[in-house]
Amino acid sequence: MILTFVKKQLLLMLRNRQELLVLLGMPLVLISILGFALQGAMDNDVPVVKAKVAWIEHSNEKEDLSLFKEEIEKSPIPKEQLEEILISITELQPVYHLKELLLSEELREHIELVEKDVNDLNNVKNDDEFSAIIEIPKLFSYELLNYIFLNRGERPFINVYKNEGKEISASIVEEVLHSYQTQSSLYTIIGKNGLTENMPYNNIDIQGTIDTVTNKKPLSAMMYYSVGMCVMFVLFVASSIATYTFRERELHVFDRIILGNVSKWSYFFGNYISAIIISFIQIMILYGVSALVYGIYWPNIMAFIVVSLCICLAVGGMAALLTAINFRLNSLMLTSFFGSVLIFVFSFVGGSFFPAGELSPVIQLLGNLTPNGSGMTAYLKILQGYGIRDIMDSLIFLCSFSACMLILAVISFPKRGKAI
Amino acid sequence: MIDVIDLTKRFKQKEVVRQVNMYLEKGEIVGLLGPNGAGKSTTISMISSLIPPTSGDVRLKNESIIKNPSEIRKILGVVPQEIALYTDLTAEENLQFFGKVYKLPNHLLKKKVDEVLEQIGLTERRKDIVKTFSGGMKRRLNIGIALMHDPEIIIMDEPTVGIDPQSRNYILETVKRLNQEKQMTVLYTSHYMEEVEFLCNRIYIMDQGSIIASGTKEEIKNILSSENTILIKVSQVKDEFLQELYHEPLINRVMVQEKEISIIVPKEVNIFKTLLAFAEKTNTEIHAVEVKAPSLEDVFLHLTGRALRD
Repeated sequence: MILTFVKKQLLLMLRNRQELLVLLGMPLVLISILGFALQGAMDNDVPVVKAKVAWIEHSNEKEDLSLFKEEIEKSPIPKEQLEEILISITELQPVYHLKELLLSEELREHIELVEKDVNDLNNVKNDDEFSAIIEIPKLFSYELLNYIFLNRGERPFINVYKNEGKEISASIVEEVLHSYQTQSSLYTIIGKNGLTENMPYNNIDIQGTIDTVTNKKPLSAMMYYSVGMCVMFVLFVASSIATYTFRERELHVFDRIILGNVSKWSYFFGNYISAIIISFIQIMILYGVSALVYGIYWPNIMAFIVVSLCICLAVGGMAALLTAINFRLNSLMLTSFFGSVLIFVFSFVGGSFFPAGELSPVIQLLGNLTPNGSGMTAYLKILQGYGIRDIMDSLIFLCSFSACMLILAVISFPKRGKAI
Repeated sequence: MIDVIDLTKRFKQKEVVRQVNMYLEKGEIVGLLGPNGAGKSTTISMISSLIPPTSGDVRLKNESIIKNPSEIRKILGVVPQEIALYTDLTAEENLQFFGKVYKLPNHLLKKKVDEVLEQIGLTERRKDIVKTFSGGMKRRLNIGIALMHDPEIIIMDEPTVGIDPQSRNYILETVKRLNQEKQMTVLYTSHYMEEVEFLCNRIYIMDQGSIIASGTKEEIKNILSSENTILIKVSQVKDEFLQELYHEPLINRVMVQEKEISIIVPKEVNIFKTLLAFAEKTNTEIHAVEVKAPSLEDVFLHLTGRALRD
C-alpha cells in the first residue's frame, strides 16, 4: 500500500510543473547564481565579515637578515654585486611586508591580526574564533634569501591554516596572501633588474601551504551553495506533501481511501515514507547535477548517503507533523506559513545564504538546531574529508528531530471521525 | 440488508440529523430526497462508516457497522458529491490507484480498469489527464472509482450536480443499468425530484435533519390524494393577486415560478370562481388554469411549505 502512495505522489509531483520548478529548478538556478556571484564578488562582499587571524613567528626576521648578510659577506661574490644584493635585502623583508600589509589601514576593517606565541599554536587551532592562522617557520627569511639570491636550498613555505567553519572569512586571508604573493613576485623582478645578469636567483614567489585547521580540504563557494540550496529546498518537500494531503482531504479523496479499508495510519505513514523517498530523489538529482555541471564530488559516498537519509527522515517527520496539524486545524494556514516564512528563517540561521553562524554564537546555535543547518554542517564536513564518526552529532540530531516530529504528528493527528 | 436505527448526529450544540430510521433491501434503488442542508450528506457519511453517529446504529445484515466498519466498507461503493479524484492523473491511473486501495490483485486490476472504463464510457479517454475532462466526464469517473471493487451497495451523493443534461441522462442510465444487470443496491440522494422519480423504487424525504415522509412513489404521492394541485398561468404575477391567494383559507399552499402559480386545494373545493374573482379584483390576466396530478415536488411543498431548491 505504501508503494502505491509513493507512486501516486511521484506522479502528481512530476505532473506539476510549478512543483518541479520549486523543488529542482530554483535550487539549481540559485546554486549557479550564488556560487558564481560569491566567487566574483568576494572582494566586494567581504567587508561584512571580519577575519580574526593569528600570527605566529618562529624566528626574528632581522636576525635572519643579519645572518644572511654575514654569510654573504664571507662568500666569494664580487664586491659590486655584493653591494647590490645588500641594498636589495634591506628592501626585501618578506615577513615584515606581509605583516605590514595585514595590519594596513585598508585591511583593518576586514582582518584583525593577533600575534601569538609559538607555544600557543595548538590552542589557537582549537579556538573557533580564529578564521586563519599564519605560521612563519624558523629561519624563513634567511632560507628565502638564500633561495632567491644564491639559489641554495629549498624554497621555504609560510603555513596558513584555514578554519573550515569560517569559509568566507578564511577565504579573505587566502585572497590577501595570493595578492601579496603576486605583488612580491613583481617586486623581485624589479629588484632583479638592478642586479648583474650573472647573478643567480629565483623569483621571490612566497609560497603558503594553505590548509584548514584540521588539515581538511577547504570549500569553494560552489560547494557551499550546492549544499546550502539543497538543504533549503528539500524542506519544501514537507510543505508540498502536507498541501497535497490537505487537498486530498478537502476533495474527499481521503474519505475514499479510508472507505477502501485503509487505516488512517497506513495513509499517514504512506505520506511520511513518500516524503522521505521524494526528498531523497530530490537530493540525489540536485547533487547529481552539481557533480556533472560544477564538478562537486563527494569524497565519502557512504557518509553522503547516510547524511542524505537522515535529512530525508527529518523532512518526512516535518511532512507528517504538518499533515497532522492541517487535519487537526482543518486549515492550510501553518503549512503556508512554513512554506513562505519558516523555511527562509531556517535557511538564514542554518547558513544556506551565507555562514550566518559567524555573525553571532546565538545564530550559530539556532542554526545547528534546524534540520537544514545540522544537515549542512554534516555535508560540508564530508566535503572537507571528514568521516561518519565526525558528523555523528549532526546525524543523531537529525534522527532525533525526525522522531520528535513523528511523535508530535501521531499525537496531533485527529481520531476517527474528527479527521473526516 | 441495511437498517438505520434512530441515527442522530450532533455537531457541538447543533443537531444536524435527528433520529433517522430507514432500511435498504437488496437490489432496490432508494432515493433520499431533500433540499440543500437537509442532512442527507451527514446521514450517508454515517451509513458509510465515515463519521460515527452521536447516537443510533447502522446495521448491515444485523451486525452493527459502528463497531465493525470494515465489513460494510468491503461491499460499499461511495460516490461523493465532490469530484474526489486526482485531476493531475489520467483516468486509468485514478482507477488503478483506487483499485490498489481496494486491494484488487494485480492480475485482476487491469481487467477491472478496462471493464469500469467501458461501463462509464471513458475507454477512449483512458490516457487523458482528468483535468482536461468535461464536468460530466469527471462525474462519470467519480462513479467509476466506486465501482472498482464490485460493491453490492452503492451510495451516490448528488452525482449529477452541475453537469449538462446529456451527461446527466448518461449517469442516470448507468445507475439503472448497474441495478438491473448487477442487482446493485443503490441509495441515491438528490434534490432533483425528477431523478428520484425516474430511478427509485422507494423514497425517503428529508428536511431539517429528519425524515418527514417515506414510501414508494405512489405512497408518497397519495399523501396528496385528498388535494389537487392547480396550475395558474398569468400574463404577469401581481402582488395583489398573490396576497389574495395567500389569504384565501381554502388554499393550502401557494408557490410561484416565473409566470406560473401553483396552488394546493382540497379536492372537494371548487376554487375556479374564487380565482376568477381575485383576477378581476386585481386586474390580473389569467391565460390558463390546469389541474395537475400531484408530483413529488408538490408533496415536498405540502410537507414543508418550501420548494426543494429553495
